[in-house]
Amino acid sequence: MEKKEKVDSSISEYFKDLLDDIELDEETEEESEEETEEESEEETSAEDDGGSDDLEEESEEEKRRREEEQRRKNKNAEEARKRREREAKEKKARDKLEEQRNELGRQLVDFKKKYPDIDLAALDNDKRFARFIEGKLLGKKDFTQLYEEYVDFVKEIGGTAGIDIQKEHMLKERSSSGSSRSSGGYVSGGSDVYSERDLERIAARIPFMTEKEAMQVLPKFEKSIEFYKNKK
Amino acid sequence: MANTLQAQLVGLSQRIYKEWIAKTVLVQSCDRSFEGEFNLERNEIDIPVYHDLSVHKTTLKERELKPAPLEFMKSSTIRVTVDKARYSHWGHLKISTIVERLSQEDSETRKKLVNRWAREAEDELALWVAGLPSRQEIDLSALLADQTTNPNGLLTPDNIVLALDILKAKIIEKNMEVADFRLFTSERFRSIARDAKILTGANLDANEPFRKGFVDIINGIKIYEHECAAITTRSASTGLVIEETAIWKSTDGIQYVVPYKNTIAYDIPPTEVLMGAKGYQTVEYYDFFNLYPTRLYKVKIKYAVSS
Repeated sequence: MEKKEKVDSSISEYFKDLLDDIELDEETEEESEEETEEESEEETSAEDDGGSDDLEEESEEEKRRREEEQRRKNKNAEEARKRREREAKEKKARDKLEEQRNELGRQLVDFKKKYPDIDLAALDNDKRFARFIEGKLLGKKDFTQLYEEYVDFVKEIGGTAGIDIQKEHMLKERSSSGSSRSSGGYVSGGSDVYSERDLERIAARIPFMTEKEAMQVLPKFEKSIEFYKNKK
Repeated sequence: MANTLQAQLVGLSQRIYKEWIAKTVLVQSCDRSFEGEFNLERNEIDIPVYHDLSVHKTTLKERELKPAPLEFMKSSTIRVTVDKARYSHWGHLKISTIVERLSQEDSETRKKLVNRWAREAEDELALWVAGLPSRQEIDLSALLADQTTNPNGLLTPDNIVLALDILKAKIIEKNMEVADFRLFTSERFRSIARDAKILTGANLDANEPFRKGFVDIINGIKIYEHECAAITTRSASTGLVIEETAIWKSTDGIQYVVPYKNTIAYDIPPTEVLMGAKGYQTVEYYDFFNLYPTRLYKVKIKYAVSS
């Protein structure tokens, strides 16, 4: 059996509303099947009413009883078959939905790699973006391409507004300016300063880092320390 | 930030490490990579193992019918126990003073520490190589000896190319690449090469001249000059090197890991300081390993007392 790659469930939560509502489609199919079953039952009962005039002879009765039993058996078999089909369809729909969510998750992970500053939650809440990508999600273009198209589109329509659009989606920690302090221990010292929490976490990790890892964090780390020293 | 000074010390410890490594020749030439995080309780760390891939030979038909058994790299790392540490106490009890002394760009205190640690690390490593078993030794003084013209097997301008050919041959006979190896010698080797007029100064690799200690590529061998007094013997009169243990190695010949660098506080008892206090020391845990004995050799060289 094909092994499905699992993607972080938290990231898959975004934009799931825009996926095809497979469960809903399935319910509709189930309902129509049930209706078909009911119709066939009615037909059977109608046949039963028509044949009730010739019940006097014993052999006729026996024959009728056998037919009745056969019909019941057929009906049971038919019901079992339909149930199996229904379960198979449900499983297929579940798998498809899961695959879609995984695919979306993968695309969102790729998007975060390319645009680490963009806040997915803010993007998810952007109704204009939701309208723009409706029906296009998991289509020929991936999420990153759709987002880039959206920003280009906004730029074309509104000039420099495209840049503002990106700013709107930026993580609050990075996009805010000035020296005001936000809640949750994060400060707004520009994109080149770690939050207090991150600074403490990184300080605990630095003694164990390889040269390469340390060189990646040290410039920003030292800048952050200067920033907090000056704040005192 | 609750303790910016403490965080600053952590950053400074990494900076000290970076600076002293840059001052070394031998240590810098080693493979210094490690994976994961140093286990402080068990003193263990994973270092890379460089596997050799096997090549299977078959006919095309056989290969279709019977593929070679699957070979998974069982492990790309090996867990080693780190057993060495170096540390320097700071003669101040106030963390702010230590940070101030160490963090200035041209801090004399830091410069002294960096130089000292670099020198100690180089000497320690060189002495360890000099103590390798005889199967990892190439005794050039014996190989160059000639009963009539050169009974002591001295390295001279006349036989320096032969000496380098011998070193290359030792590598080639073990099916290894000469290009992977570098020769670390004293300044006397450079003098002999200069006298032989084979010190060309023509660098085939544009990156090499920027590496500390690099001399030249002579007869296809990259020559580096180290300053480890510990593995050289000098003439009492001229001061020239008359005997040395050169090092002929590839990068993975020595795996030198420094998986923990920090500046930490410790308690000083009232017997040492009135009412007791907190002292500070910059500490590094490190160790070095030779996982591939065929990729590291010590080379015995003898020179004439005077040129």
